[in-house]
Amino acid sequence: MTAPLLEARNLAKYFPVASGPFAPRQTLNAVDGLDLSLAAGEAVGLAGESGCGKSTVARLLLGLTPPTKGEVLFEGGNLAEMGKRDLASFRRAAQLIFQDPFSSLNPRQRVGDIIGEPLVVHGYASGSELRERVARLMEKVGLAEEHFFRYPHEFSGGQRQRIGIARALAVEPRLLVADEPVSALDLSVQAQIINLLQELKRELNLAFLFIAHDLSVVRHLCDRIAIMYLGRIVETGPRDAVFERFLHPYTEALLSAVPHIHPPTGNKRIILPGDPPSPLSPPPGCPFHTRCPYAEGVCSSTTPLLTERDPGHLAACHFSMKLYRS
Amino acid sequence: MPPLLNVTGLATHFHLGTSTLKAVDGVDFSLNEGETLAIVGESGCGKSMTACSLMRLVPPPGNIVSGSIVFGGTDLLLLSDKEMRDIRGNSISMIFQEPMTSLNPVLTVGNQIGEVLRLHRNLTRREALAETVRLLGLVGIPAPEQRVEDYPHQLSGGMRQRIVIAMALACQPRLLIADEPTTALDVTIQAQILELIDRLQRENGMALLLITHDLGIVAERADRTAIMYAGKIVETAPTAELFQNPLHPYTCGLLASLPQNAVPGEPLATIPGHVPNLADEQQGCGFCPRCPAKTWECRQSTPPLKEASSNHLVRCWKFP
Repeated sequence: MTAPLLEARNLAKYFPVASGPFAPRQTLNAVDGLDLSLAAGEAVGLAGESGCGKSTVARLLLGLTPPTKGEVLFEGGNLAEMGKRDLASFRRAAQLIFQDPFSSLNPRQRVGDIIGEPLVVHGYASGSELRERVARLMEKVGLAEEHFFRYPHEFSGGQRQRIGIARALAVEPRLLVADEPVSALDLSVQAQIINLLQELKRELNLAFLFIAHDLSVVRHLCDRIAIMYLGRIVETGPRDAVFERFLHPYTEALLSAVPHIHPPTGNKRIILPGDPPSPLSPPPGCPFHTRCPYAEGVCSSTTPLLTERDPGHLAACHFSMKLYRS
Repeated sequence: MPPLLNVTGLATHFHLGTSTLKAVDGVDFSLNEGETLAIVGESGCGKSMTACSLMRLVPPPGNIVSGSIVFGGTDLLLLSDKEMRDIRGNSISMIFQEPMTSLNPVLTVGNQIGEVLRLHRNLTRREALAETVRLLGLVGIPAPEQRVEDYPHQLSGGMRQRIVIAMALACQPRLLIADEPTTALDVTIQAQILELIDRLQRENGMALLLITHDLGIVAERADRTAIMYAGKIVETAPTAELFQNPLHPYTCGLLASLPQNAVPGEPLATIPGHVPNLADEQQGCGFCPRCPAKTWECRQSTPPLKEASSNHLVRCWKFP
């Protein structure tokens, strides 16, 4: 196997928070001991409920926030130790697509300038060449040439997401991190953007990290899937393995909770009791034991490690084999 | 037996200076006792405004310009404001998408639910408190005696939505309108809330009007489904029939574009273009600009909602 393009090792991010002016400082464990790797051209989906740390992972992997512990390696180089020049080249190679196509575009810039700005900043092109490259990018994402001089407010949500994608592609990245790229879009437009991302991935051999809460979108787009719960990855593996032969009770519950347009027969819905625990005071042992239908004594004392159960398929549960392989 | 709710020709327009936005443009449907009807559509199709119209809570500059809403034998549009207030929250209740904005942040949970009980059921403060605790227990809130003292910000999203549901059910309404009740919640919490609404509906025998954009929820929960597009119902049928045998090109397009229906990795079917702006003057069928099967006739005149097979109505010239 070749070296991964991007690799996170034992990554953690803690935020100090105070609930009031005189309250004692507490620590919020947004991400806690996360290992993740992405090969060139691979699409990895990161799924989990709100507050599980998905977006913090995106910021850590792009070097937008320094980690509290652990390291992020890009092509073997540690982001924290990179010099200015290397960091600039990393910033070209890794780009981000945002969730909200309304707040992520400058309302006072023209579309052509928005898409061209990364090219100018990184010194790729200027003058007529710039204009030409922007036109090519616009064509690639399905925008018409006459859109060049328009402002973002003249576009619908789907069109704006196309502008955001064109901007991310401008500097020819090798890695795209997309944080909920379609969740703000209408159903009929969502499919258009999913197809566009799929096409671009194939055509440009991009590595993708998709962060989403919608499991059906993740399943459609990704080769590999990681399920997060309370700052940790609880299960990761190839797409079909995770969806069909899951090894963690949280994955099972999450999959069974998704409303399905062809309700499967025989599959019992698992309703998890209660809310996810607060990351301010994560429970001892397995973070999921407070809601897990199969929890036993050991779960509240010992934290299970992410262990390989099938080739490439890892789960962090004491009873993976007992529950799902017998 | 006549239906519990019968809506005919409902039209709600917004007068915006020079133009008129037809948010709801001639909507007909009916709902029987104990039945669940889902209204499905994308943002801006008028589904929420249909719900607000039923409660006569259309925000200005909107107006219900025509139609009738017959509920239990009386036309709600002919009632005085005071008579309408007796119905609202009493026999028809509504729950909204975002539980935080539908709760008062400076009142305790107990006070807010108690207010409903004191106004509509004339309970004393003490009786209202006892009843509130009972209701909170009913919607699955742990330690309800303590939670009545809490303010909304002390509760999680799922718990807030339970409070809103408890409040909506305080007077045992005959009709519950749920406008995107779980859109702001995570899937595991969504499953809890939908299960709760389902249980309460079975116990109280109330009718449910479920407004959503999530076709998965509809497939699992609704008896009948109406698809809305550009202010009009374009297709309505029993849910199983609609999903197995969709007729309107828009319904077909929506179902085909779902990742759930596709082979992973293969391109999804798409509906080209985007949802029209309802303030623009439109002629002919509202879906015409995006329709793969449009003809000359579609541009000229709006098709009527007609029965294509028994109980299956569709608004399309393809099905005369």
